Amino acid sequence: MTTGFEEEQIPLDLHGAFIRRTLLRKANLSRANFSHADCTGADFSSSDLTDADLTGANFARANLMGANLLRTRLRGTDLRGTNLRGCRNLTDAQLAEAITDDATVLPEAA
Amino acid sequence: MQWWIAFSEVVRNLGLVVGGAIGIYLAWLRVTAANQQAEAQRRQAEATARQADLGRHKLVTDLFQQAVGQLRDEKLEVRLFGIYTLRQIVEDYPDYKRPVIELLSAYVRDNPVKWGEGDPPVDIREIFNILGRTLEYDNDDGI
Repeated sequence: MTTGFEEEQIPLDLHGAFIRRTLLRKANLSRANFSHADCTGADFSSSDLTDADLTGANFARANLMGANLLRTRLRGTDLRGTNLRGCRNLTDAQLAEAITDDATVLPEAA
Repeated sequence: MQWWIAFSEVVRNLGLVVGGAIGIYLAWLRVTAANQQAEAQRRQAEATARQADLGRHKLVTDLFQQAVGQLRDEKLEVRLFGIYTLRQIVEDYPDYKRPVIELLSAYVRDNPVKWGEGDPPVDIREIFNILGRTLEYDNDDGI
């Protein structure tokens, strides 16, 4: 499906925002800035987070199922209880920088 | 008699040459006039298009400014109207997508309301609807 807007990619800047339980499914969030944002319980499933900045953000209990995490910055990102099933391009190095717990659902390959 | 025939042929040929030259000249005048008319029409069309573009720009700018004012209002319904106006702008005028997204992002960042563990308020939900639609992409290789 096309939206007619593909030609222009606009990085979203929501750094420090309080956006708990918000929905942004299948969105192009590449280069978006979510640093230090409170995204607890948010649903960004199947979104493209390539080169996005999630530094220090709270994604606890968020749904990132099927998201593309290529080069996504996850330093200090709270991923406790986060659903990462089916996430693409998530590396061990990225995961090591994030905060996870037993409730974090990791991608099959991770 | 021979001389007269030769003379009349020369006169006839000269007449043909002069007539032809006049014809070419008239045709050239006609083509020039047609070209000038076409050029004038092209300029007129360009001026009309410029005028329409200016009118469109003014309309969107007015709507945008109106929406910015409404987003600052205390009443939720007024703010919602501003958000709906911005949604309409981005749908009708996709080239204004960037300022609309930046404005809505700033609204979300500066929003002082914290809704705890509950669902986001309606204005935030509507903004994320707009962001979701505007930033939607084709995820063929996704799950």
